[in-house]
Amino acid sequence: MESVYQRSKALSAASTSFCPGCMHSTAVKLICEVSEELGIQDDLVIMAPIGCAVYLGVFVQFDSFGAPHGRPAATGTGFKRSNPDVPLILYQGDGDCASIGIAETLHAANRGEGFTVIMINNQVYGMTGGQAAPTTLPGQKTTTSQYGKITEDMGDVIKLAEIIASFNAPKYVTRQSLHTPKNILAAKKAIKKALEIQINEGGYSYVELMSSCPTNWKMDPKDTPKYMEEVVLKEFPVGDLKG
Amino acid sequence: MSEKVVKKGNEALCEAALRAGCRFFAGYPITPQTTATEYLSWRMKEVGGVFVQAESELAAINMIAGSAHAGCRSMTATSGPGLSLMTETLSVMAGTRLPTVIVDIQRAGAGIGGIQGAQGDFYMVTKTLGHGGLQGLVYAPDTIQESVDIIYEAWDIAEKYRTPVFIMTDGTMGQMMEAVEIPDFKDAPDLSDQPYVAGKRKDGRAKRLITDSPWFGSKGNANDNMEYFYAEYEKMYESWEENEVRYEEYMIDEAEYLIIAWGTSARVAKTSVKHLRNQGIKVGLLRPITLAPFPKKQIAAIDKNKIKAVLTVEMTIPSQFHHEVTRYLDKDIKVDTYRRGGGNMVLDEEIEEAVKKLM
Repeated sequence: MESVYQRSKALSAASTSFCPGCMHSTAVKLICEVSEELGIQDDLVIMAPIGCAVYLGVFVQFDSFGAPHGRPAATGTGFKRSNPDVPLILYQGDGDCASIGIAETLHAANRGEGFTVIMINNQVYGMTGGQAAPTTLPGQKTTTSQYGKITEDMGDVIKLAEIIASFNAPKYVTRQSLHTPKNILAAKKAIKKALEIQINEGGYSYVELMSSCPTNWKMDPKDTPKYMEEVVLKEFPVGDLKG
Repeated sequence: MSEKVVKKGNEALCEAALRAGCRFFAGYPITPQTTATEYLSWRMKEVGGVFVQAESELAAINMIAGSAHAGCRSMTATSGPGLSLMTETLSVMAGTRLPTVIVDIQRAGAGIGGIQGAQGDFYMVTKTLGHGGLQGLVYAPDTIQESVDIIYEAWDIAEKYRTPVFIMTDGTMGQMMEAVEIPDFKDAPDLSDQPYVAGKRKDGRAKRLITDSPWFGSKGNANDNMEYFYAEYEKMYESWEENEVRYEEYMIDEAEYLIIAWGTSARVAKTSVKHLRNQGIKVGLLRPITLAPFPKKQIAAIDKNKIKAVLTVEMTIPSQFHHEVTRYLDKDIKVDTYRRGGGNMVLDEEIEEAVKKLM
């Protein structure tokens, strides 16, 4: 019988530590599948973030290392400049990338560092228990915005993809989503394109992936795609912004 | 071939770093470190290395960590305020056991303070690297030549122990010029097989799961592994006290009085020792070259039957080094301190007066 689909060999045997219904596991799976399709599963190095994916290196069969919260873009700069032939992914969350690490993120993008950032945007700090992030929607209830996020108090939504797309250096900037099979396929294509650019021509690429956090949204996982489609993606529209 | 040149302290140090095989520097301009960053901005490219002017010291220290993960000899240089920003990643490096070199060209005071040379980072650098209580090796030269010689072997030591290595100078040593012998270029070793280096997995080697905290091991859960490995790190720190302590004894023959000082303070104190000896006063100098490990045993061994009194000298107020010395010094030995703060230089004549007051 012909095998048409199998678990990616780049995934380790260990199960992930992500909550049921969380789309992190989808993102990790896509990265693994793309690495196989590009034949780089033995070459790719991935940076694990501080956040829900802190144990990322356990789940995948790539070499992995980390950085303090917010600093992957700086650490990645040092790694990639010293070893330009190694494909490198910075796997980050929205708190890591858009809040505590926004300076490192933007400067690395502006310098056109030769790595790919995969940013998981689920609009909350997941691992610490669902506090408000710079990506939290106006009015959204979190543990630090219990009556709903007031933008005059906490600031409006930071749309990192749009900011990065305004720079000259980045080769590819896109926002995709993981809430439907169609979107997942588009997200996979985007990850593949970003890595192809990194490997074939060099340069910076940024792939933002809209994701859910059923635990901290206090929402049944099966309701999250509808909420994302009707509410979240209105604020964070999907599509290519550059390249 | 080595070459004899007259060079600024910061530039000589940086040139020796390149000769030692350093091929990655990231730094953020801060007085009195700027001449180091400026020098490497052009000189690093000449030797085929990478220079990055970082957007902050936060970024700089993480860049050199990333370079170390690629198996490259990397360094940064900064001064007090920048070092404060770097502490989180110093903690990470000590936890990851990442060999890197950090040069602290000290300036005066807390906060913004002043830009003149000082020695106020002693506690901060020697006691623990950032949060968590882990340590690094700390060297404190008192001449440009010694700083060159130390940085030339700094990565060898860093890689031997897998630890961050500090070199502490100050604004005075960084800016002054001195005749110095710069050693020849040597090749950095191939570090690609090191467990902290990530890269292409050739010949089907297993993945490397590199974390700053030793969560993974044979001891059950993450807490137990961390507890076990940190105790192992402690054994390494203790071994440094046996094997890595360096100090200089200067004109200590038949000394009845002893000055204990480090870095620029010790350099000035050497002049005082010469002056006092010329006056027939039997004084010598003990100068720790390693601040971590601290020469505890050597200080504890100072004989109260031979040494009548000890004077510590340092360029910072409140005292730091003085308290460290008195922790180990025989309590029966009379001890005093002479220090200047605010970026003021210790003066040889004032050191001499302070010694005479102890007589």
